[in-house]
Amino acid sequence: MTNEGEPIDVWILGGYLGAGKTTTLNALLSDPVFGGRNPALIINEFGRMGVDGALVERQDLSRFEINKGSLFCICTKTDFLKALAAIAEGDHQAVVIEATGIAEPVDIESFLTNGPHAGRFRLRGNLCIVDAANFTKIAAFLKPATAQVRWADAIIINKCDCASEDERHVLGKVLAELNPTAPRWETSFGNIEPAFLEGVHRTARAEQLRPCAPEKIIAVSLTAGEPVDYAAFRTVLERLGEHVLRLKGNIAFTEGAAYVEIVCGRYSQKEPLKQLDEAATAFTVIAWDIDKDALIEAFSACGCNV
Amino acid sequence: MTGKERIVKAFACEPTDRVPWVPFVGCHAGALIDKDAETYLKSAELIERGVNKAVQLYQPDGIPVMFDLQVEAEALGCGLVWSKENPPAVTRHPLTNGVTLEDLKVPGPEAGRIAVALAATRRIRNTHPDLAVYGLITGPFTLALHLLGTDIFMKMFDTVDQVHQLLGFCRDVCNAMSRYYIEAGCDVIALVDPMTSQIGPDQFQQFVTPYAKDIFAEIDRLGAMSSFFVCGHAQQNIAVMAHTGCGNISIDENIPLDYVRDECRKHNVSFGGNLQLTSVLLLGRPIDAQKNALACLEVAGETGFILAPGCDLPYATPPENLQAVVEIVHDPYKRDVVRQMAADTPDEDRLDMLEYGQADKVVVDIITLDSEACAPCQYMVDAVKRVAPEFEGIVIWHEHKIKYRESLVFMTSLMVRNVPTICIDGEIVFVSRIPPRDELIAAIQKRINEKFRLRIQQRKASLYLLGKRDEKMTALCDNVQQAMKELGTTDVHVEHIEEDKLIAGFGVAPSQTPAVVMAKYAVKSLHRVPEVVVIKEWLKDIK
Repeated sequence: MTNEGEPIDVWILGGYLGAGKTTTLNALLSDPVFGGRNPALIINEFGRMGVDGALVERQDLSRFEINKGSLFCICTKTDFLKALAAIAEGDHQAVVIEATGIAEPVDIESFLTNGPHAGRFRLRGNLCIVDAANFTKIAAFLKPATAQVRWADAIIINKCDCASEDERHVLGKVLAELNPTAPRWETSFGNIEPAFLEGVHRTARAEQLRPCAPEKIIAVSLTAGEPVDYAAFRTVLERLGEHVLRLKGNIAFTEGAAYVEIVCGRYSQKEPLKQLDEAATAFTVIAWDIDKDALIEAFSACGCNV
Repeated sequence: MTGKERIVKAFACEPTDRVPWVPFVGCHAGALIDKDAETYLKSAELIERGVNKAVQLYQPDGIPVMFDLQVEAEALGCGLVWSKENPPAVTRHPLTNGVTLEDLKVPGPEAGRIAVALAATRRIRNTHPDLAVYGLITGPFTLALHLLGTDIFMKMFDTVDQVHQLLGFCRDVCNAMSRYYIEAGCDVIALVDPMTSQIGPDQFQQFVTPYAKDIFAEIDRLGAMSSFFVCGHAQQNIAVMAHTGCGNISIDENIPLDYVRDECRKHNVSFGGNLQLTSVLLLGRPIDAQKNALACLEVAGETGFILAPGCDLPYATPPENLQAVVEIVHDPYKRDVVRQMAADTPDEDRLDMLEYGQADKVVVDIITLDSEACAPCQYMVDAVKRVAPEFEGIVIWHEHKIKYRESLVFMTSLMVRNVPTICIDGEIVFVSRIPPRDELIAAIQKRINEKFRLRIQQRKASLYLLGKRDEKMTALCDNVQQAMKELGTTDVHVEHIEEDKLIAGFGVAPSQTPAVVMAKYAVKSLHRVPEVVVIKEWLKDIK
């Protein structure tokens, strides 16, 4: 039995599939200070979404898999509370909760603090792993991706080797906007210095961080009934500047159709994609820190509409 | 009005005689018949037995055949992991393992466990013709996620057209499943699409709305009712969900019910929910379930609402919690009682009742809502009133109307949970049942006998012999000793008092000596400070 007086430290490890959670988890567990505390793992299994249990190097640890067919919702709470009960009965001094890319961290925290085990666990920190190359793409479509960043006590920007300098620069600004207080650690293979973790402090979050807050990162799909004037299109992009994180799709320019892609300010175009309707304009813009209506209004200047 | 008629009216946002109730019994029905989730969800015969048991226990107006969002995914080649107390989980997504969309075909009614679900539907339809039978199908977005995994979020930007093709296929699966269920006898098709809670309203309109509209139109064409189930943090999408042509929106505890009520009423769409699954139905007490149900009913209003759990009931939900909800649904009087009790009495307000009931007289307390306003309370008070004269001078009775705070405190202090209740000397004896006269007399008599026994056992006394030491006093002392000897009494303290002043203190004049005063003792309290209300009861005996 664990000493009733000492709460068990909990680390939440969040981040989208492919961000590098398993690598980061292995790095954490191999750290003698952390790994020596008989940590238990709660793994939220949903296909490829969670940490791949087989890739966790330390197979000796107690592992609890949250495996709920009804998926993603409050239904997982029952299994989660069962796991916490079992851990509280053991002799663990730490717990790592792997939050899938679709977990709302606010839910996990409420399970810890409001459930029947209130007081037995101490949330030590919410770590959010961000994929440097793909975060700005995914954040517009998956609400929890931004919620996890906003809720984080520390952000680990992983796979920096896969992102250009421009992308990393813009990503840094986006993350700072979403969460100005969390320290950020840039790495390429999920490695974290123990000193960085030691410096992480739990920050109490306000109610307005609930996921219904207006999204900072939006995605809008646009079309055009008439050919698009190339110069007008570029003028719109210039006006929008860094608000446009990404843009992708076929555009029927007056001068001829092209497949356009913009990644953090870097513009490129090539032959229109065959699987799309080559003659039609259909593209998606991911933007940040701008109102959706303002974005649509800006593109209307070159004849593009939703 | 039958349950089905009630559901039909509620879906049409028309008045009903009471709010309909649909417990989402999935693998929990397995627990009711002592089968694990895997065994249960693979057998039409067991599903029928489980649903029958749930119908018997929970008296619903509608019931789902099963709650398993992996049936279609399994038939389409997704890998599953089964567990004992949950529906299975998808762990392998075919479209990320070399299968292409062109390889996938809309499954037929005999594919995989679809056949089990349809066989169960037919059996349940036959057994329960008056209930609304719900067929739950996996929504297009959630099914797409099962097939493709979370790559779908990246592809919503990278390859929009492919995502639309996939969702179009999922829509075709949903339409086929709707048709199978309706042909097997379902009245309601519930499109369950929890993954939509992960996206915002813009993406919902782009990737879900067109397909959901097609599915609801098809359900409508086939003559069934439709519901859109979502769970999780989906508040942002309720307004766009209401535009998909569904007849009902059902939500869980993550979304405020009043918000859903307002959005749905704007579009004349009925709504349902949102009893709390874990903290109340699984881990709470029956009274918590009742308070939660009452809160839902009060927020939702009486029209166009279906009371239901937020999602699939946990396997080990205690049946008594759901039966407590049934009482709230069926019994307006029970709702009044719980409404009164809704403000929980803080522990510090509770009275210490350990010594309650140690007065010489037997105290009968009737805890009521108000005997003037509620018939069962009135009958219970009348029953006591009629019997009390039989015990003239021995029994006293009080009515405690819990509309008054002090009565509520009294009630919670006696650990009374139901109203009306009769307590005899602080012990709960009759709960929500008017006792027949003989039974009530017997209960009171039993207590009198008990008290008599206790009193004899506990009695201690002093004999004060008042007067000068003279011949008479000597004779008195001898007689007292003789009497005690003959009775074998050892616990009587005998004291001789000579001083006139002290004798006067006993209310005896010196001229009246020799006199004998006997003082009896009864231990009323040990190791604690009794409440004033308790001491008052003791003092009444002296009067």
